[in-house]
Amino acid sequence: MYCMNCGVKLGQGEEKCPLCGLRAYHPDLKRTPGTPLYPREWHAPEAERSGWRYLLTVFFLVAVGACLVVDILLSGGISWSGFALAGLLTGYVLLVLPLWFARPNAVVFLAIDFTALGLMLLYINLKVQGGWFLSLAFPVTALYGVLITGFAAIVKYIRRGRFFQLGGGCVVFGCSAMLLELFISITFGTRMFTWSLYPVAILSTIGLFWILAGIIRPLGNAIRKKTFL
Amino acid sequence: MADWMRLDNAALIFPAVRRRDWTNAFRVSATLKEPVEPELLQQAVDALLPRFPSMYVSLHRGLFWYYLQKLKRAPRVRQDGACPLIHMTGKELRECCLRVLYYENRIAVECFHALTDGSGGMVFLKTLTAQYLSLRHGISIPAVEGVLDPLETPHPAELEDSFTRTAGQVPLSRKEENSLHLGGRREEDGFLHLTIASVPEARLLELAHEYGCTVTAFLCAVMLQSILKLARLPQGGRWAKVTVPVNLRKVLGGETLRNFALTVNVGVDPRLGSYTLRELTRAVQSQLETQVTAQQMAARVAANVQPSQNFLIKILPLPIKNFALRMVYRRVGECKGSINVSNLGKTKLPGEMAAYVRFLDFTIGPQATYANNCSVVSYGGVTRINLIRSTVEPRLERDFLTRLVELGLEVTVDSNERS
Repeated sequence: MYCMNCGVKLGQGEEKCPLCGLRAYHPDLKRTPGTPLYPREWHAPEAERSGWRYLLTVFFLVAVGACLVVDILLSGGISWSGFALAGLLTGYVLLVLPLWFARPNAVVFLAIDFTALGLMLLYINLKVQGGWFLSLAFPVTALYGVLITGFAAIVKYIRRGRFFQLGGGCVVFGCSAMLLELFISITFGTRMFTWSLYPVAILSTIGLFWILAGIIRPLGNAIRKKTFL
Repeated sequence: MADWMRLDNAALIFPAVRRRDWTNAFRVSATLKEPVEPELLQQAVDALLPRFPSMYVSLHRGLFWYYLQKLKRAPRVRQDGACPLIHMTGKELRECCLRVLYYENRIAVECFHALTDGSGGMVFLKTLTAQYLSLRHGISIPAVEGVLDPLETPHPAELEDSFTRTAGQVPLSRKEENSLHLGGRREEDGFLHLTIASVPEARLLELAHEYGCTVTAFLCAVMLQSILKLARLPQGGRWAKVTVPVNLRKVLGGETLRNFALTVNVGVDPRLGSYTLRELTRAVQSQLETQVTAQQMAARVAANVQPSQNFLIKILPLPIKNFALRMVYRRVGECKGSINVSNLGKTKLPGEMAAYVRFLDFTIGPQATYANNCSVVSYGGVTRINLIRSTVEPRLERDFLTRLVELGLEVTVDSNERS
């Protein structure tokens, strides 16, 4: 039997054309299904994972144990080792946790990383009674967590318009400097607009250049030609 | 005889550029006219262990190089899965770099490319199939047409690294234009789609001759036409190019069963305008004729062999070598071709065996950075074009095969599509 769309003859095992998906059917021809080329049952192979995860986990566990033992021996309790543990735990989440997953999703792990970073800062703030968590650490971590995770999601899931993505990203990150300065100013009582306008201006100019490269095709092609990987 | 062996010069790159989701492997298979009996197939696989010491091996790390450890026991035969060339993990390669599979009437051999190339793999498959048929039907099959005598001891020439013997004095520069790649949505679960197109060998040859070229050049030209149509242009100054593996045994001589092939890239610059099929066949044929000469290939071999013989490179620890090889591969490997078209050519079997074998197939896996590959073998008056892809949509297959239909070929397709 032939595919009406593609003009190819279908093998005995084919229920439909593998090229266009048209089902093999003719009212006057009786078709006895043949053996398929391969077994139909598919089990996806387990993805190969790096052996580094075991080595790094042992390294982190040894470091945690060593910090605790030394701190307890020297000061009779947990003092500075609390900070070391918080740092090690955050480092583990950032570096080693993705290795335990077969196909780690960068977007999900970025969100997890910023959460871990926020929790570490919360711990330090409580420990030193700094009073800067709610006014500075939390909003800054949340702001950059949302921006970077959002940017990663756009790059990962939207495959077109790379110049616009890059340009938009530059402009947004530039503008975020003003918010950063605002949080610093609220926390420490410093003046506004002392430095944030510089990154805003520079990153916005760079961003606008990339957006222009997206609009003007010859410029975009020239950049692609010189910079592809 | 030592129980281990060095990798041949071409094989050095394959373990280094392996990824956690990709291994460079290929498959050869024989479809018989009767169902395969797994127990007899296992006996045949066991019997060939002493005859093919370079095939029954596992891959291991040394301090400075990878090496192949000869196996004491042959691998177990397995039933085929739903797709060919399922990823070979590092653990699997440390156990055995070879798979022998069966399904209904088919015997298949899947092989990590560090062991051998398509021609070597085909010799192993033919000998394995001959051994199986001898056990199954009690027939005697002569050691001709690429079938080896399983009782002979391996000839040293079969195990040699022919690259070092044939390298020229002057290395050829690897500098050439980069190539465009077709995009596509990758299968998340690693499924590989295989479409096998069977076309009459005589008609294909006639058609190629009408265009004044070889079958390989003709198929490359049709493939280039499809790529030029489907690619999003322009992609900088990148060319549409086909990578063609060349069997160096035919060019430089030798009978090794290990790797002895190098690739050449042929293609056109899409910025210069559109091309007719006749123009493409002429371009491909002339590029192949210019590049595939004994002198040119010896110079290409020298470009690979000379660095590996440098003492300072030899003493670099393996992880540093791997890193450097990955960089080299990135700069001069897959970025220089849009697709592979690997043609094993016309293959014959001894008459006693041919009566039992319906088809021979040759399938190369997709590359790490591009999704489509094409491999071809002719046997018994039928040319089987194996098109593999790691993406969801069969855009290239459809365009390529409908072009062959429009050129007057009767194309019969079989596939492993999931219903």
